[in-house]
Amino acid sequence: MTHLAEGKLSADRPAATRQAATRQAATRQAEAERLGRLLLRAQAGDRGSLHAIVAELTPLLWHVARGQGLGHDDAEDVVQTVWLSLVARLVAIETPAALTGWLVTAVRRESWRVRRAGERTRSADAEELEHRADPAEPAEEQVLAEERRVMVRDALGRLTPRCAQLLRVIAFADRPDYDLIAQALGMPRGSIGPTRGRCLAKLREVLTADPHWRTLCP
Amino acid sequence: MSMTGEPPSAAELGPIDAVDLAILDLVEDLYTARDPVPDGLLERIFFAIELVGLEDEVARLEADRFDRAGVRGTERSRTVTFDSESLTIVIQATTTGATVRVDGWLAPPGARPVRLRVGERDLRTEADQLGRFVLADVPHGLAQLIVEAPPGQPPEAARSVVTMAVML
Repeated sequence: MTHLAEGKLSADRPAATRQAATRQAATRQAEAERLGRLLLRAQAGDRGSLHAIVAELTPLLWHVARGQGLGHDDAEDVVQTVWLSLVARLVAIETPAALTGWLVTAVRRESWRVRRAGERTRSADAEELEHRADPAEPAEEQVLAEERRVMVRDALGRLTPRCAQLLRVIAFADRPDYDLIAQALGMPRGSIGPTRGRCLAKLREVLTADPHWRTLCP
Repeated sequence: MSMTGEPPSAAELGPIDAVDLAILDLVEDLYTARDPVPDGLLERIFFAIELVGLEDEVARLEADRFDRAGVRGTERSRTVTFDSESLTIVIQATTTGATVRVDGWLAPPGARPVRLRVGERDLRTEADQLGRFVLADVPHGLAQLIVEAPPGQPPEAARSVVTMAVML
């Protein structure tokens, strides 16, 4: 169920990049189907498949917890607790979409609970989007990647916190799940997917108006 | 979807296209670089879910605090509280040299088998009628408590309580 509207693409990006993005969308779709097969095998007791699901969805859940304002330790605890709870009710999960929706909802609720609980004494670190160099990347690539990140960070900074939080989580999601994840985060229906929605439209507007957009993202 | 009361713009109503997906990839790249999933978190999750059975109760971490340093020199002690639907588990972990002594309490109290998984080890003891248990000479490492159902329960009521894994 790809909604890619090739014909509607403006001259924003050249054809080669467009094709790359189409391939990427197809990959995302295939990933969702793969998740469905893993879920069936995990329910039948296959540890490897369960581990593959955990590895696949933990980044999404990490960013849900961090997006809710939790510090590192609290976010780790919440993600781990939610996985434990999931395993204890794994057979009741019927589809990959239900799996993702349940996990995101559980992390959000658990994050609220932890934030409310004043007695927790684990330290909360302020979120810092500071630069961490990746030694594996060649220097020139690093500089470009870093400039791109600064541009995206600044653009996100011009959105409402709620919008920035939604896009942060959605960026780690499979495309068919955008709408259900937005709802699991408490956003109104139609916030994102299948239409662009207000948050992504705003980010796109800010980014494409950035003078660096064309040079950094040819 | 407008949340400001203004009608949605044409851009908002447009379908997600390749440019949008490329932008989301940039957002993903930003957060992957700046706030990655911590090293070792996956391994800690794999350890924690290893023995969780269907229908087991999960006990979440409620509090984890280091006790005030005592006068006993090298001893360090920490109190960790886990909470599940039916059970509260409090442990005091006292480090003496290379090992840890774990004093535990169950509330509501009851004689139940208690397992402490730590690293590759699986230590077993019993809580007494008052819900107290002790495990001495516990090695340091990632640890998880499993409190089994009291003996003699019908299978449908024999739920274990499994805590999340913490470093001891």
